[in-house]
This record gives sequence, structure tokens and C-alpha cells, in this order.
Amino acid sequence: MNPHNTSLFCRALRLYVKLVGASVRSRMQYPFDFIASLLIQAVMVLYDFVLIAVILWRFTSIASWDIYEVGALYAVSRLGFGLYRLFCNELDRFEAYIVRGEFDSMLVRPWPSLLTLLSRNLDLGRMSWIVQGIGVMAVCLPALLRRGSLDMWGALMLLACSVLSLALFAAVGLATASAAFWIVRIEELQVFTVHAPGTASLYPLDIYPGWLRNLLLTVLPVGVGNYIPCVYLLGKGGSWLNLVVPPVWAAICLLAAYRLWRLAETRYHSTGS
Amino acid sequence: MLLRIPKRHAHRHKRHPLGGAPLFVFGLQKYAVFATKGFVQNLQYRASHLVNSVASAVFGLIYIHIWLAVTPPEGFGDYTARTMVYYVAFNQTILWLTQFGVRVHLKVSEAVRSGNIGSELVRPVDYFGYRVSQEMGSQTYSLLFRGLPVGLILSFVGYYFPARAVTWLWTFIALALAGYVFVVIQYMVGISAFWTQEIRTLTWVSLTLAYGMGGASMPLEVLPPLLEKVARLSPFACLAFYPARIYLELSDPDVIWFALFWAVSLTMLARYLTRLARRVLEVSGG
Repeated sequence: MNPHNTSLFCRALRLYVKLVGASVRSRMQYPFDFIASLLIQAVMVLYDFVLIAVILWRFTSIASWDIYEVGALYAVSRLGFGLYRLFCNELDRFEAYIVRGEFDSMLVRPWPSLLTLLSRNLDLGRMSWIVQGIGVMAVCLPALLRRGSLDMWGALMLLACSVLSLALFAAVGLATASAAFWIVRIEELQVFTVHAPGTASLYPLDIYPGWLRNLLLTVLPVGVGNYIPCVYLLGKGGSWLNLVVPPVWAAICLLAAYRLWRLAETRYHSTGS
Repeated sequence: MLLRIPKRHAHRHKRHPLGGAPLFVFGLQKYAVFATKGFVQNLQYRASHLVNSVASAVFGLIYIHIWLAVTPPEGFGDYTARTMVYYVAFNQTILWLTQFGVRVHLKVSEAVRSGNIGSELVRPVDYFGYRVSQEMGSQTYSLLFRGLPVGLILSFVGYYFPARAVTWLWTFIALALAGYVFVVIQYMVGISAFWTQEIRTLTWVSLTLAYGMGGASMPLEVLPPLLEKVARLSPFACLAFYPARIYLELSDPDVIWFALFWAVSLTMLARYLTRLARRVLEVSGG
């Protein structure tokens, strides 16, 4: 990276931190609303957890993955999704920007529109998924370490995988948001590209038919962030490549999604209001 | 409050298509019009809902494969792996009718927040009947345009079709009651806005209970024994668990009486709450 690019990156990062700080301060002006929002989210996200807990309580394993192994898989995906909703929440509600013509205001700022978009409304109320992920991880990791299914290095790798999972959710979310420049309404599409694959990735991908598994590992690759590394780290097969492929694939997906976003921006039509 | 037509206007009814019909029939016809409007309003979103149906079917597919993976070869209770495919596919088909499509709570709370509730309550029509009938029309749309496409997609994986005509009849009645019961529950969630303004928490609680304890994604037999007993007795079991068991011919249609009991009880409660809400109504703004 040449010095000019480094300085540009640092400036962008400083700006991002400043904008995010302003967003958080504005949210904390209404502390009760913040707490209520956190509680609502906590109730909302409880369901997936209850379903998986009941299934494992009744049947003890899913496709030879026991409760702690499924828990680790679940926690990595939930942490990744939680971080995505925390830092990229505006991608998830991007349809509103296009429908109401609010994207105009981002184009007149002297910095990239994506940076402005992501620094708006950092929603701390979305931390429920992160809290849930940490909670499940706190139960599963010690159990896996105790019985020797995982060593300390593996545990750290597992935690790092949540960042990979975030990157993959962000790539899919960004590509879906880009579609809004052409088709405007993307809420239903997001259910198909982000939420359904997110739910699917909570379970071992072995249980799905080949075409669905391939979809979750290639076009909508949210399964790459948790399933592929977990298979190797938990001793269920694979090789060291299981740890190398996910970050490379995440970088490629992020880059491709960003290129798509830049292309899509040029197709933007304001509402004229 | 039923519509009472003053005597001086009574002559107008002679020209009505149902001329000579009792006032009661005329009143019901009015609610049929509300229901039709609720149905027609949704028609313009058909294309968008079709995309959503594909996403719903994908969710169904995910749950089907989860159950195929965990169901032991000998099955559990009344359920084999194949029955579980049918169970999940049927419930995914009716999900928009019995749960996700219901919007009445949002409409009521929005009316309270905007102050429009004032003009809505002074109309010469029963407010509960107006809201519920309109929502039932919308729910009929949900079943036809959002549910059936999901069922069609999932039929490629497996779908049960009862051979006996009477099973179809009982299922239809169970579904009508299921849709009605959840509309009334959500109506009460909406009515709570008269006191609290903010209904988000209650909405999510009711949705989570309906989805979790209603048996939409898993038969209630899977739950821990105590929770299963509570869930079976709750109105939420009428939303998915009992209709699915009737459709799959795993239960006698007697359970419809249970749904009817909840429909009547909740209607009485909702009407009582509506009367209370009228007394606390404060409309601000000009």
C-alpha cells in the first residue's frame, strides 16, 4: 500500500469513527427507547435459539453434530450476523433511501456514499444477536476445550471466524442493497438473500441437499464463514485449506460486492422531490 | 355497537338488493364488503408477494431438511420423517394466513397515534367488526396469493393430500378459526395502544408465542412435557398445531370445539377491551 493510500484510509477511518460517535450519541439521547429496543430485539431473536435448543434437547444431535458443536456453529453465525446488523444496519433498510429519494443527500458529501451510509444510525439495539452469540459461545467453548475437541488455538480461530462471517454477510447485504438501484424494492429480496441463508447457516450444512449447500457456499456464501472452518477445527474432516479458503473467499466477495455497488450508484435516479 | 338504522331512513332499505331482509343480514353484508375491500387492497402487491413466497418456501425447505436430519428412523410419537415433511410444508403454506400476514395491530395503533381513531370510532359501525372483517379479507388474500404458491413450491419436496373430502372440510373450518383467533389476538395487541402508544414489545411477544407455542415449525410433542401441556391449552395451538393434525388426519376434528371456545372467549374479551378503550380515548392535535 503506498503512503498516499494509507493516509486516505486513515482519514476515512477517522471520519467513520467521528460519524459513528455522533450517531451513538444521538441514539443515547433517548436512553429508554434504547433499552426498549434492546429488549424487543432480545425477544425477537430468542425464537431461533429456542427452536435449536428444543431440537437438541429432544434429539441430542443433528447429523452427528452434538449440542456443543452445533452451539459453536450457531454462535459464530449469530456473532457475524449481529456485527453485520450493528455496523451495516443501513444496508438492511436501504430500500427506504431509494424509495424516498434520501440517497441524494449522500451523493453531495465529499466522501464515498457507502462510508456515509454505514456511519449513519449505528443501532446498538441490534446487539441482541451479539449478546446471544457470546452467551452460546461462553457455554460451548469451555465444554469443547475440556473434552479435547478443540485446543486454545482453535478456540481463538473460532472467535476470529465471526469476523469472517461479518464480512460475508456484509458482502451479500451490499450486493442486495445494490440491486435497489435497479429494482427499488428489495425488502423481499433481502429475506431470500440474507435472512434465509442466515437461518440456514445456524445448522450444519451437511443436512441440506447438494444444490442448497452449494448455494450457501458460493452465490450466497454465508455458510463459508462458520461451517467450513468449524468442520476442520472440530475434527470433522477437511484440511488446513478450510482455514485459508474462507478469508480469501470473503475478500473476493467483498470486493465484487463493492464493485457492484459502484456500478449501481451510476444508475441512481432521484425521486425528484 | 351494531348499526341501528333510524326509522325515518328505513324506506331506503326497500331498494336494497336484500330488500326485506332482516337488519341482522344487512349488518353482516356490510362486513362482507369490508372483507372484500381488505382482499382487493392487497391485490396490487401480488408481484412483490410472489418473491416473498419464494423466500418463504426456502425457509420451509430449510426446516424440512432440519427435521429430516433429526427425526430418528423409527420416528417419534405420531411422526415419521415423511410426516414431518408434510407437517412443515402444510404449516409453511398457512403461515401467512394464520400468523405473518396479520396487520390489524399496526392499523389500530397507527390510527391511535395519528389521531384518526377519533373519526373511526364515531362511524356508525362496530369498530371491532370493521377491523376484524377487513383483516379477514386480507387474510383470505394471504392464503390464496402468499400461501398457496409456497405450498406449490414445497409440493416438489413432498405434500400430503387427504383422500377424504370431509378432511378438507374440517381443515377449512380449522383454518378459518385459526385465522380469526390470531386476528383477534393481534387486534387486542393493537388496542393496547390506547393505553401505551407503543406496541412493539407486545407485538413481538405475541408473534414469538404464536410461532413457538403454535406448533408452526415443530409439533408440540417435541417440547418439554410441561411446556407442551401449556402450549396445547393455549389459543396459539389453534393456529398451526391442530389444523395441521386435522389435515394430516392425525387428530379427530373434535379439536375444532377447542378453537371455537377460544374464538368466542377472545371475541368477548376483545369487545370488552374496545369498550374500555373508548372511555380512555384522548385525541390530540387539530
